[in-house]
Amino acid sequence: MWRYILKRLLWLIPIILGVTLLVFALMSLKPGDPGRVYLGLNATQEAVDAYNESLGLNDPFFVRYFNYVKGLIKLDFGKSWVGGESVNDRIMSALPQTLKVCVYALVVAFITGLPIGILSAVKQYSLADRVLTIIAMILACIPVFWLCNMAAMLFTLKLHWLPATGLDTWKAYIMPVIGTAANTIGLTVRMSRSSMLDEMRKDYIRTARAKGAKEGSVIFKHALRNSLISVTTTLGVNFSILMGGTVFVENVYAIQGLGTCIVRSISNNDVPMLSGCVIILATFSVIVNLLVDLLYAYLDPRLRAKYVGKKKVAKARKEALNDAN
Amino acid sequence: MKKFLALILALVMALSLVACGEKAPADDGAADDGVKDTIRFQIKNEPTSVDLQNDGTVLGGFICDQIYGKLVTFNDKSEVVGELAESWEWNDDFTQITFKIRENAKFSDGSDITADDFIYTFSTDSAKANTYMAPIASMEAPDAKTLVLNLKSSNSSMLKFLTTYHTGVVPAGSMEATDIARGATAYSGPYALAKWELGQDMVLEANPYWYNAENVAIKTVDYEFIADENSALVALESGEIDFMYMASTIGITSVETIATNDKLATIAADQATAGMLCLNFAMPELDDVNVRQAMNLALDRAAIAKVSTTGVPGGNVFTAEYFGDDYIPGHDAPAVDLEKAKEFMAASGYPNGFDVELKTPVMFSKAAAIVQSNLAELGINVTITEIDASIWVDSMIKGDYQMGFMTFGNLINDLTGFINLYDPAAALHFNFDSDSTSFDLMSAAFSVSGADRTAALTEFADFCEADLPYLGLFMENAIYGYNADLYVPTPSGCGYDIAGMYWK
Repeated sequence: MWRYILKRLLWLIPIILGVTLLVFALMSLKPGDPGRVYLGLNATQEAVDAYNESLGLNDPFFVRYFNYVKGLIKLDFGKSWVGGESVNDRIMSALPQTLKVCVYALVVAFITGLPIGILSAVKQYSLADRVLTIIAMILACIPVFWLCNMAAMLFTLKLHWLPATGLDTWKAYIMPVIGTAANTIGLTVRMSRSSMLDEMRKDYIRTARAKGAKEGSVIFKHALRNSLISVTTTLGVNFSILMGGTVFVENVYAIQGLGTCIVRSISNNDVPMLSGCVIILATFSVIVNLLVDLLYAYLDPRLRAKYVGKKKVAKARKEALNDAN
Repeated sequence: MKKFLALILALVMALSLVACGEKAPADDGAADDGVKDTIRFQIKNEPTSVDLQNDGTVLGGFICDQIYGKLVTFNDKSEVVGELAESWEWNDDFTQITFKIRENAKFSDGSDITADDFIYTFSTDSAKANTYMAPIASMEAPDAKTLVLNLKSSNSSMLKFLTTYHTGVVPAGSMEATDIARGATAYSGPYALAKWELGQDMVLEANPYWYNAENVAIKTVDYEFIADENSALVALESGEIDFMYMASTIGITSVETIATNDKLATIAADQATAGMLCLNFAMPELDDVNVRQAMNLALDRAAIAKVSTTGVPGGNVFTAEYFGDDYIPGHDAPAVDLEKAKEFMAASGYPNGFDVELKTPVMFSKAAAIVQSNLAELGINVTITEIDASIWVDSMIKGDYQMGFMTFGNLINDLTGFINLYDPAAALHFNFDSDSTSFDLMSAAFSVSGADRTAALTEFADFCEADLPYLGLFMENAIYGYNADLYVPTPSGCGYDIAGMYWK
């Protein structure tokens, strides 16, 4: 198991190199002058040139890339091209905001989407199923940006229940978390409904019912447990989608997280800041997917047995060899 | 199953604990005597720095304006008045200014602001490379409160240059002691940067040693970074912020929204930002003055101004009454005259029209459509290419355009600094002038003052009207929305004046 985890973590290296190379290449193709952005239109060209030179922007592409990667090895994301602030400091201040919203959104999506999906599957073709399926489809397709703006107008301006910006109080979390979770709730409902229906049609469920097991026991003890495996698999992918979606949500609710940072660094042509943010997002996606895979192994006895079984077989072989010797 | 539920439960509990570490809600801003003395101020994004000499961004300027004191400033009549300097005197040929610094001018740590502090601040490498301080050749300090600036050449605009935040002062030696991008050791403006946590809070506190501190009613300025203007408007209407800056792009809609709410108010400030249509003279058709005159009379500037800014139609010379003694009368926006435009077109070398590309950032795409429609009347077939705002200026500087929209600000501080646009050797020239006549005429205004300067600028303006190196389109207004209980003084050429605000 540990070898598997290590192998997955080592995959981070090519992923990060690939992400940085991609960001560097794309941003290099984009015209624009960080010196002019920072110093302004009224700055002399000499001042702009000197600023760009001080950032090493006149070096060839691969020299700049190599220097950046050299810093990454020391976990130094460099300095912003616009203002010179430390990218590490900025990420450390932005990351908790984004993570909090994303993790809460994932939990909300899971604890609302799963029961609704189960209910929908158990009551298949009923009125409740049809209504919940339609709501799930709407949630899955609704544009986050529109939803967030509408929610702000309703809950802040009309009802005066919730604040429109920031994350200063627990109430302030409600709209960003639900806005971030909306699409994922829809997807979780649909996924849990379909996987539950798959399980409910299997032979072992029929057997359980034939043996006189109570319906609650059939659903929660047998079908749900197995259907959870496929739902859990999607959690990692959903978390990556959630983190991407924060670009919109943070913008609407004025949350100073990674999404806001990414938007600002793109408009400022600030490559180190953008690369830093994207690397962090990519790293978290890999780590969360790894955790989900481990959870998957935990939930699925067949997979767990596979790992344990291998160990046992190896141990038995070793003992047999020792005996033979 | 039980283990799984336990895992989920543990996760929820852990997250709840994390949520407990939230910030305490802000108080209502009431001082000990019950009078409210705090405002929550929206700005679009967190500033990149508070480096007064290097940061040329609008957001950096918003903060630097409040925390760094300058020798002089503008009043609401666009007259240059003393700030840290109580008086000044020019020599005869405008090559030397002597400033008398106020006796009670102090930094926020209580130390005296002296001529040596200005000499130190204006002597850094960044200062020497800055447009507004570059004209200074040398400085002297005959005594602690007297500063003499010797200029490289006659420059009657120097006083206006010294109204920009770039020319603020910091304590001598302080730039080596701290990273000025993140804050100074002491502040010379009406406010001091009290707190700046990256991505979280930026708070200014009134400087108790400001020479006019007893008249500053707002003691705390709490900046809220809200990038989305619709969100900012919702926050203003719900009372989460007290003051917001509305960019011209959504200004009209927002103003209409605010007008329906009696708890809110707006103020429109004359702003020295001009919008123009740059013409690249490398294109033979645009190098033809008759073509330019025809285009000039075909453009519906009122319609263009309405869709692109909260300002007013602008003429071909950027000047307005609020420019004070740099106002050049008689150069307002020309009215549409299609018949005369067609006559100019017929007299040009391209009577049947031509094809031309118009590059524009998305914010001016509606205005571009109007230009396209107007010029179609002359047989000029305009193709609109929208480009990303971040590469827009770069593309213009490289001359990679035929026609392009451009806005240019700070004209009130620097009308003659606008000269860069006319200097064929300057980076911002944009290829819109085939010779240096306009540059020479503008340069001539540097060395004279008063009526002579007005005459020199008028000669320059007349030339521009005849030659049309570019087509002026509009002059922007800055719109501010705010809580109606807040008194907001008329903003000057140096922007809004928080120190002059108070709760009614």
